[in-house]
Parts: sequence; C-alpha cells; structure tokens
Amino acid sequence: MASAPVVRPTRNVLSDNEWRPAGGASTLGVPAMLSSRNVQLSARAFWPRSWFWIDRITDRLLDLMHLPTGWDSYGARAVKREAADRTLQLLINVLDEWSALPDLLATSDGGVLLEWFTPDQELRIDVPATGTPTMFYRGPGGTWEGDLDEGSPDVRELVFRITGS
Amino acid sequence: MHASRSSRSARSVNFPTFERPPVTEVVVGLSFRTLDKLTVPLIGELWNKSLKEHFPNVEEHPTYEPPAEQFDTSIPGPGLAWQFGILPSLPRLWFLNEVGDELLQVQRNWFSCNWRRVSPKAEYGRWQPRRDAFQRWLDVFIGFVEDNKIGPLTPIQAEVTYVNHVRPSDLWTQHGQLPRFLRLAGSGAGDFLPEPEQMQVAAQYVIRDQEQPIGRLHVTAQPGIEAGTNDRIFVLTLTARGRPEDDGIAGVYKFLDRGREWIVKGFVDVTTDAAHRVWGLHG
Repeated sequence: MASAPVVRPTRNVLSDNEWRPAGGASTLGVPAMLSSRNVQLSARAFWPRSWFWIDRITDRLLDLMHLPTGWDSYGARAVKREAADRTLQLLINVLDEWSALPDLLATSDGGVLLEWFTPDQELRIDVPATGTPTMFYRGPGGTWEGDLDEGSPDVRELVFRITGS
Repeated sequence: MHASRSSRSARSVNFPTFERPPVTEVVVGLSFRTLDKLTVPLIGELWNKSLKEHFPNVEEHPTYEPPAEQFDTSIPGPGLAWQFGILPSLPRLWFLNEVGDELLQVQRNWFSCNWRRVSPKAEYGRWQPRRDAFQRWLDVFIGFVEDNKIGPLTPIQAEVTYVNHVRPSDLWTQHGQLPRFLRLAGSGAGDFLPEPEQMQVAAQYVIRDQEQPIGRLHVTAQPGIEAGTNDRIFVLTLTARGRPEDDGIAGVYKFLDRGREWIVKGFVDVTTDAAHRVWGLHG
C-alpha cells in the first residue's frame, strides 16, 4: 500500500499527509529544526508538522537550558534537559495546533514553570526534572492544587477555558 | 442497541449544494465511555470476522484524544492519564480499504469512519453515503461489543469534520489572499501595511438546542504546501462536535445531522460569493 500517513496523536484525518504548513516561523525557505542549536529535545511523542508552536516552545526551552548557573543570584541552575523534555511532552499532550501558549519560566531547582494567566483565571504547572509535576488552578469554579496525575483536573479543558483556544 | 434499529437517515431538504465542492475528506466519528475490556486481540477478532474483507489494510497509531466541548465553569474531572515517559497506553487501529479512500478508526473510546478524495477526479460522495457508511460500520462495531459483553457502548460526543483543500485559482494566488474566498478574514492590508505574506484564521461557534449549548462548530483556515506538487493550498476545516441529542445511538445521529447542517450552511456563510461561483453553489 501507499506510504504510511504521518502519525498525529490528536488528529484524525487521512489527508494531513497530503500537505505541509506554508512558511517557517523564523526562516525563509529553510525548515526550522529542533536540533538547530546542537541540543536535541527528545519528547517521547509524535507531533504533527502543522503545529507552529513546537519551534517556539523548543527555542524557549533551549534558552532556559542555557541560563548561566546562578541566574537568580542565589546559585540557581539552568533548566535540566529532563525537565525540558518532560515539558515538551506535556505540551504536546495537552495543546492543539491552535492553542495559546503558556509562559515558560525556569525554577531554581532546574525545573520549568508553565503559566497561563488571565485576570479571572490562572493555571500553573511546575515540571521538575524528576518526580511528579504539580499543578495550581484558580478560576470561577474555585481553586485546585496538587500533583499532576490521573486524578488531576483535565489540563486540556482548563487551558481551553483560560485561553479560549 | 444496534444502530440500524435505532436510527434512520434524516434526508435533508433545501440544503445548499455545490457542483464542485473543494472537499478533500469527511470524518464522521463518535467518542464513548472507555471500553476497558476492548483489548487489542478483541479488536483483531473484530477485524478478522467482520472488517477484513472491506478493509484489508491495518495500521496502528497513537491514541486520538477527542476534544471535549465543555460549557460549565466547574473544575473539570480528570483528563489524560499522566504517565511521563511513555506513550498513551490505548492504541488506535486504522482499517483502510484497498483503494485508500475509506478508513475506520477504532480505539477503546473512539470510532470513526473517514472518506478521503484519493484522486483529483474523484467525486465527493455527499453526506448521505458517508452517514450510511458510518451507520453500517458502527452497527457492526456495536454488535461486536454486545456479543462479546464488553459494552455497553455509551456515547459521549459525536463529530463531523469536512476538510477542504482550496487550490489557487482566479480567486487567489498568494497565501495573503485568504479574504478572497473566506469572509472570516479581513483584508490585513492598511495605509501602511501591504498585503500579508500569509494568513490563517480560526473561529468557533456555539451550537444550541432551544438556547442550551450542545456543541460547537470550529472553523480553521491554514496556508499549506501540497505534497508532491509543492503548490500552495489553503486547508479549510470545519468540525461540528457535540453531545448526542437523545439517549442511545439515535441521539448520535440526530447530532450528526445537525452538525452536518451547521457545516454546510456555515461553509456558505463563511465563504465569499466569488468562491460560491467557482464551486458552483446551488440553493
């Protein structure tokens, strides 16, 4: 049979393998590469070519991985590669191609803090290099705080509510 | 409950139709409560017994997580299972026919029937054949679930998706000219700014039944490059997704018919008169 369709975890159409997005976010005619800065993130998931935000998130994570030691004046480390990998994997799982992106911040222990924020709602997810990520949500329905695990509120739904996308 | 006993097609009247619609793919799908007992070997048995003849080719794909249309403001329940470091544990199997224009997707909480245009000359088979195909194969699936006591199948959301590949024509030649066929997009140019290099648009509409929200219509337009030819295209996708309108499978078909109506009439609303002429609008 014909070549296998592109594997896309959150899409369900066949014809996605018949086209690719036009243009690159930061280059003219040269596809942006995840490995463009000699560091390759390795989220264990597939993502579709049509997700423009992958490059932006990857660039931001690579920036955080290259922070100088002591960037907070108190001896903080740069973001660890494991935390960056897990962050990318998490976002691939929860965001769609049109989703609003979170702010990504480094934490002093080498982890990544993800923040979606509006005046009425906020969602923060702390992704450490090892151990269970934690989550905080504040919105019209109340607040929720705890480990991000199988019992947590649906992050996709919360992101949709906060950002409308 | 078998679909054929619970639902008959609601034939549409007074729907706008196009002589040359740019439809590339149609997806008719259903998400349902996870069938924990539906193991991969059982899906294999389903294929071997009932699907293999029509769908001889099989592919394994990562799980599709059907987006949930929510309207309340309470904190939602659990979503994805958070297992860092491994792929989602539920496989999704694709069953393709020999030509490659029909696909069934089966996983523990998702069933869909896709039709894809495989050659430029292939004619879009219209809604009724797509609906009938979905009903036929869902009926087979539900029968298997019941016969093997791995059900009941409890519907959560139904969805219809139309993917349109809009190719360059008299309407547009550059990716900044989306407004020439899509009303949703403004011109983008101003006193200072030139025509955009490229444009993309996303919009969503609430589908209501007697004032109560029951689903959404999502419309996206994205610039793309066609594989093989490297021609510019726009991919205009309309998805109607929502909860069944009655108990059982009959409510699923009721929403699917409504969703298709929203897509067809919505397509007319969001596209321009010039595009209607190119695609041969009637009605």
